[in-house]
Amino acid sequence: MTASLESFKKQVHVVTLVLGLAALVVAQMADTSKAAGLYTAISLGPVAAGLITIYRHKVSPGTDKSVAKIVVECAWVDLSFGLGFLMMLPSSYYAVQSPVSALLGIDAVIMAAYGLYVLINLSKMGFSLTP
Amino acid sequence: MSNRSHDSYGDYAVVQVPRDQLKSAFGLFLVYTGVLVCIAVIWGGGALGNGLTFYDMVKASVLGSLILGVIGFFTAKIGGHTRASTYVILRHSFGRIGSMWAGAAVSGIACGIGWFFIQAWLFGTVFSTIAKELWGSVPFWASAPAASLWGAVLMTLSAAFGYKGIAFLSYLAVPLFLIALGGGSYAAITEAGGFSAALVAQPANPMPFAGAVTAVVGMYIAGATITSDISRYSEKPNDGGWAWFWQVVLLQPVLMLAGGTLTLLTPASDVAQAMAHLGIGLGALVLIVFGQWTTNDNNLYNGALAFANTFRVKKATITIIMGFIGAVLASMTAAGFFGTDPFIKFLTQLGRFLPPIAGVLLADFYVFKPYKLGKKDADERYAFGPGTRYSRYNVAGMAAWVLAGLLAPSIPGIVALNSVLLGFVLYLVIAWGASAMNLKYEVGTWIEGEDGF
Repeated sequence: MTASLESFKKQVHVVTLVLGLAALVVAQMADTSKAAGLYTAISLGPVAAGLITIYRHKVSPGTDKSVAKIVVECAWVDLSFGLGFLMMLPSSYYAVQSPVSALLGIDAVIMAAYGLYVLINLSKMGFSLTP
Repeated sequence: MSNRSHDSYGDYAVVQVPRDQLKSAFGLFLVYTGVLVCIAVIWGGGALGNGLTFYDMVKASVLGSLILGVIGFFTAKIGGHTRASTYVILRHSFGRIGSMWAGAAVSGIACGIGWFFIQAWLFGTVFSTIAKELWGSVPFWASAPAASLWGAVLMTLSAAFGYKGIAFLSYLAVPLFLIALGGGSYAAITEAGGFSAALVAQPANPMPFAGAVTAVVGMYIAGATITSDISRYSEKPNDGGWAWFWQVVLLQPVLMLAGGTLTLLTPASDVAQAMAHLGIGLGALVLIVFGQWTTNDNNLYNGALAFANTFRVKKATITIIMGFIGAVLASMTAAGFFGTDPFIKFLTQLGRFLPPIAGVLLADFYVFKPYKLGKKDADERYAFGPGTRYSRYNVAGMAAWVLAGLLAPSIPGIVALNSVLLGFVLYLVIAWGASAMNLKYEVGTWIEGEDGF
């Protein structure tokens, strides 16, 4: 197994879980219940993806292809859910106070950027991005 | 002679997908979901909200989706076993030339050209409406003719890359669409009176429950018929079937209820417009752009697969030609050169002939081949590859197809379901009857070449 794939295997679920949990905590600080509800719901996506990824690694046969598939699918969740936060944050209906918005925005940018970084790297290694 | 065809036309359009190219169930789920999620389904839910109470709407959308889920499960399973597109599979039950005609008519012309241009036109029209709501005026690039044109170009681009293109887009767009829809419909419904008001609201124009189920099934029976176009990539034979089943059973009712609940509370069912009005502009744009894009690139993908089984031309070339035709027609329609009514009437008539194909396919694969011809192993039931002999015309399949399409509307019940059942029964009666009487129902011989054609 290549070193980089091994490192992504070790870190992708950790990063996804940490960023998802951070968003979940920040979402509780929103000053309206509708905003807290929406951002909590979005946060649950990466949290669930992180937990599912841990389980999938445990039952995976461990070949490069199977590991890459799990890592790629988790990275897609990071990218799309990060963008999901960024899509909803500017809306006036779900507006939150500035510090919360900034924290969620930073978390979302890191989430999307990390997902993109993993996808680009795995693509360079020759793995399919649509496993 | 090798027993594996060379992929001369791209995207394994007329050959079996190699085992090392098969995809995960999660990926198939996202691609099927990408096909499902579009503005038209939300508007379809709006039609239910105009005629049913909330609880009846839940029951009708779940029951209709379950019917679609079951039919699509079994058609998708055929793709999982054969690793071939619907039109290539049809070679066995329609004959080689029969598969060209049937595929080109109901999927090539209907999906690839007709519905593609109608959906691109719809994209342009809705996009310009939302642009006006967001920005107060409509810049040229956001006008209906311009948006129809660039929208169709985007859809053609992802479809031209084949399965990889539409899967790539679905991985990115489907979660975004669902987040936008969840946030948007919650906001729209809350502002229109809330869920508690929706639970007791009475519909403006009550409709019979059976009519509502018919509408739900009819809206997506075409998708349930051609599931093999996607499931041919499934790693395990049942993966595609389950991916189809769960996306349609879990998500179609949600989409319909989003539009339907809003219609129950207000005269409108346009979630995207309500979102723009409530200041969720980016979400509204994502809903329209990604919703239409992931659905319509599939129309083009299916149409190109069908034509690739008919003409010896690369699939990407067919996609670009159809995309160009669709873009021009959509833009001209949006500019007012002609209306959509004549096209929609023609496509609706043609659409009657798509569901019976599912009936013939199911009857041939699950009943006739194993129990009459003794081909018990599902993976070996249909042979493909260089040197494979097909009949030129399978009269049983073609007759059952045409008769079911013509007769189904005159039988009471759910027309789309009747079409499937009639196709199923008629094929078995004709093929089994002819076989029992030693009558030849397969005419001529076509031998598959090295290129899979």
